[in-house]
Amino acid sequence: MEVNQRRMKNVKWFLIVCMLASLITGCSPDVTEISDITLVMAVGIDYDEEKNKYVLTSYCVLPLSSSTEKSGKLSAWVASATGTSIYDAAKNLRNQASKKMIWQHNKFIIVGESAARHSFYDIVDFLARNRQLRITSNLMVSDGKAADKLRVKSETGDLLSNELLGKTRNDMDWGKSINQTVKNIANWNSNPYRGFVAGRLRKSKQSNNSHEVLVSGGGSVFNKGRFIDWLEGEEVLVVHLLSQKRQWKDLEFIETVDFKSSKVTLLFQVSKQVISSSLSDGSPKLDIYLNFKANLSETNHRLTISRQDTLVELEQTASTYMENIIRDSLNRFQKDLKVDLIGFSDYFIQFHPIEWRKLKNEWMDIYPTIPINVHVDVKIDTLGMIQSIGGE
Amino acid sequence: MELKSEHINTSIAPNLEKLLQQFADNDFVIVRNFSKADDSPLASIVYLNILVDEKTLNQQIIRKMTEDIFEQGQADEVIIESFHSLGEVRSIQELDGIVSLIANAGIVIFVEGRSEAYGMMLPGYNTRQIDEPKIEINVRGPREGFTEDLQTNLGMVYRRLKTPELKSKSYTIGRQSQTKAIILYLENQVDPEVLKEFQRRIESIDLNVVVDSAQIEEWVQDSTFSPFPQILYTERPDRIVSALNRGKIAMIIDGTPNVLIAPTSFFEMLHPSEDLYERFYFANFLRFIRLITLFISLFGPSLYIALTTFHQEMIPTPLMMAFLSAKAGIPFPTFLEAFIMEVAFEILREASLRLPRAVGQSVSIVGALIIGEAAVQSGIVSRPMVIVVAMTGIASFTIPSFSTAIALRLLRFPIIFLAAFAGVFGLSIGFFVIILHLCSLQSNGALFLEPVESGRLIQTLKKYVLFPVRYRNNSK
Repeated sequence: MEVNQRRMKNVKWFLIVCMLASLITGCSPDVTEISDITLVMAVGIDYDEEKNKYVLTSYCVLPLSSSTEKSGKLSAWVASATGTSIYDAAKNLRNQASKKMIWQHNKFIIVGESAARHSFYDIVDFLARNRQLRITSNLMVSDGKAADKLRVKSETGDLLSNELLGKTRNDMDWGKSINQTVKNIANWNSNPYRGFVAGRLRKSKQSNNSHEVLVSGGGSVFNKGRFIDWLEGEEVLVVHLLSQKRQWKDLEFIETVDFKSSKVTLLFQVSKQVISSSLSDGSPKLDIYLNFKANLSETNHRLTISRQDTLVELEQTASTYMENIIRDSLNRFQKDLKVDLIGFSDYFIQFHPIEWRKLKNEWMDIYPTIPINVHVDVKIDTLGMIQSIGGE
Repeated sequence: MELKSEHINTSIAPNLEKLLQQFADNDFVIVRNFSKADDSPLASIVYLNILVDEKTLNQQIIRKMTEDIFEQGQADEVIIESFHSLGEVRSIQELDGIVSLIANAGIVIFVEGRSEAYGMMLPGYNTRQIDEPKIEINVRGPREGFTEDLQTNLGMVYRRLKTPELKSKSYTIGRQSQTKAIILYLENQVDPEVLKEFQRRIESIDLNVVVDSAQIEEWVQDSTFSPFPQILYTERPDRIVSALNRGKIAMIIDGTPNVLIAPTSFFEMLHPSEDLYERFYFANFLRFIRLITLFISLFGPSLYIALTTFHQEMIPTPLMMAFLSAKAGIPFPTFLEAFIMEVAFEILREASLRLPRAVGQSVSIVGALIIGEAAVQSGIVSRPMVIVVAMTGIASFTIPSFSTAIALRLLRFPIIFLAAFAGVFGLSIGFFVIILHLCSLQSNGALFLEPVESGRLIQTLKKYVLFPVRYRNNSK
């Protein structure tokens, strides 16, 4: 009974404390009411070279009006501020903000071209160090200023951040655009042996629309913390194909192949990718094996696809076509850009660590000379619903 | 009532005098006299006419006795014989026994010249018909419920357990109510230590009047200051029988249909008897749902408050945008909104319990309108808050044991305060304290959180999940 009474005393005290706690709700300094906040959904970082200042643009989302209206639409609010460092600029934004800015839901970071060229290290340092920014945000480099991109009117009337989210999701459907998370960029930025590809954002005017819209396509190449150059769509496709499994597992892309004086369009999916590194007499060598599954999408002349050997020829043509694309891109990466942006060094570090110790000091010189053999195998999977529609 | 352990006089008149003195100012004591041919007293029957079945008394007992006297002469043996042939008779030597028998709806006959009186039970008061208990409704299963009469209730239990192992012990509780209470148990399954302790507690009860089993529950339970009930009560005989089968002790009290079952564990409060009557997939699914609703009813509003005021980064972005637009322009902080809505809900619930039926329907509609639409439209509360409070309220109705449900309703408020003060940290502190309290609670010898006591998850699950009848322990 004694123990029980003591325990009951504790319960009583607990309940009393809770009742008293009812008087101090709201006293905690961490309380932020939802009606006082605005969510920052996208951030643009620019660098003004003449004044040596950073310009931070934030794209925030606010409720339109009071909640009694049925539509609870949110409206966007864009503001820019300058500062001597990125964080300084972010704090300077507060003089324009009408509500407390919450950065934890931010998913996009758009870096202007000049900022990427001049002070990328600072940007990555800020992004990785700051606790409020998500490490899984996507970083994209824009042609020109980031501030302009965030002020573009959205196509569908939806919020720009939702549209950007959709565009990044469409990567896997197209193949010619890429998105990297801040986590990967922070990891690879400090790697002296490899570079990486981040996304690219442009403005473009569609023919019938009256205003410009944001388009994501291509990529931006970084090496050793500096922006090197842009990549075009096909090259980004090759980056997808040769990267980790996550990048090509759900990828579907279209290529048009010239086959016997007609153009055949095929929908490709990667079924297997093997990159094997080897050393012959101390000099490194790479072999890339790619297996594709192709579906016939359209042709502009009639094909006798009922015959087995036509299909076999088509497969071989497609294989050669893909090999050429990959080789051209790899050439550009190796010899023009001289950047190991797919991360071939990782294959040597992991599989040949002893030899790597000898290679690593001269990796920058060896890399452009590595022979890379590409072997592509295409298997045509389905032919669609019809054999042919009459005519030629 | 001061019980006189006086002996009975051989002559009737002084006995009657003393008896009527006890029952002074009681208009309902009736004395029926049998006299000899010379008008000297032969025998007298005393009873309370409000309790006794007067029709049987007149038409069968007195008639037969009169006939027997007429046929066989006016000797006291005749009367005693005749009386004995009419029912189960006990002989009483002392006045207090007579008083208690009369108060218990019995008739007592004094015979001239004898120093003992004879009594027979003849209850004739009306009791409620056996019908389905209003609170514990089953879709499938027996529909009998206990009534306020002890005999009927006992009959219902004995009818279902026709084994000599079913033992009973009777007690009289309450100085002035002299309420009869019976504990039932199956001898081969009950734990004798628990039984002994239970009996000790009953014997130590000191009450004046017993109206409901709740008063006895307070004496018998382990901890009065805990918000959780430690003894289950039920109105269904089938639930009692399954409990007895599991080795528990049942206590039936005269005058109330609520029968106590001890010892219980917390999880038994969450399982209605219907679980045993449906297919086991369905029963397990419902058990799982009830576990979820347990948490919703306890933590619903506090989780919402904690997440939206302290941890906005934990909410997925699309949901966050929905909250933003819903809460724009609301004048109150989230905690106050929740508090207002919860109190309004409790007021509505209390009011709807006591409403006359005619007005009941309209008030529930008005209540829903007021709390739901009008409050939101006028911008006092936000829509998500209405949803959260409604979900919490509905979730608390799924708990079969009413006393546990109100315990959780009550505990919701301190947790709301803690969550509004310290976010999820405060909520988890409240949760820990509740768990600590529950773990230290005992119910008549068994741990209150009984299935969870074994450290391994698989053992706990085995006890919580219902298996088909064939694979159950027969004591489950």
